[in-house]
Amino acid sequence: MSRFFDLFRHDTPPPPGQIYADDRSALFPDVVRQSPRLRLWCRDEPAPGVGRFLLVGVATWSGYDMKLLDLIEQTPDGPEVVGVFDTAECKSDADFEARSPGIGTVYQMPAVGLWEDGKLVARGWGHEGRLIVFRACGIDPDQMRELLDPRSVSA
Amino acid sequence: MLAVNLGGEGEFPGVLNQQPPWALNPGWRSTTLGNPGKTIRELEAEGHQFIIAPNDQLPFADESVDVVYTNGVPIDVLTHLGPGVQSSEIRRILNPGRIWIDDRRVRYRKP
Repeated sequence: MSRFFDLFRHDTPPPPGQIYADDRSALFPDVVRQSPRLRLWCRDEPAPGVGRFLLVGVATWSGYDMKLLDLIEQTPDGPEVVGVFDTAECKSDADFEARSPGIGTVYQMPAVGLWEDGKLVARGWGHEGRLIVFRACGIDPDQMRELLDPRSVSA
Repeated sequence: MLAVNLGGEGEFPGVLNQQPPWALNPGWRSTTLGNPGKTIRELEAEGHQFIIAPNDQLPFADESVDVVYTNGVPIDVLTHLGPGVQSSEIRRILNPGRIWIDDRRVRYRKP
C-alpha cells in the first residue's frame, strides 16, 4: 500500500501560461480518510489521555514525508493513535506550537510530537522528527532511503 | 554548464545549491536522507557549494542556467517561513531548450 506516496506522485496539469500546479494538499484529507491507521488531527484537538499518541505534520510536496506515512500505515506496532495534519495549514510558528508545544521554529518537515498518557514526551522536526517516528513505530530507516535516491531521473 | 539545486542540501555532487536566508538561522538543519542534521556551514565544509538568496529573487541572470533541480521543496506556495521556490523564477533563469527536474522527473523544458 502506497497511498501517500501515490499522492506525492500525483500530477496536476498546469493552467495555460504557467509551468506548475499542485493540488495535493486539497486531496490529502480524502487520502487520510481512506487509511485504517491514520487520523486527521485538528489544530486544537487534545492528545488522548491514555496510551501512546503520535502526531505527524507532513508536507504533501515532500516525498520523504509521504513515504513516512506509508511506512507508519504498514507498521503493526507503534502508538495506539496516530494523528496527521498538513503543514500547509500552519501559517506561523504558533500554529506548530499549538499542535506540539515547545517545538519552536519548524524549518523542515515533518513536525512530530509523541505523547504517553497525555504527556508530551518527545517533539522535533525534520531529521529529528523522523527519528521520533522511526523509534515510536519501530521503522527501519533504510526502508525510506532505498526509495528516495534523488539522482535517478525519469522523463 | 550551470546547474542549480533550488532548496538544495548537496544531494547532487557538483551542483550549486540555493537556500533562502532562513537557512542561516541557528536552528536550521538539513533533512536530506543520507546527510541529515547538518548546518549550511557543515555542508559547505564537506565541499557542497551554496548560494543564499530569497526564493523569489534568485541572483541569476535571465536565461543563464542549464539545469534546475528541485527535490522535496515547496513550490509556488507561501510557507510559514516565507515564499517557497517560484516556478516563475525557474522559467526566467533557464536557458532555452534546458530543463527543470522536480523530484526526479523532468517537469519543464523551456521552449
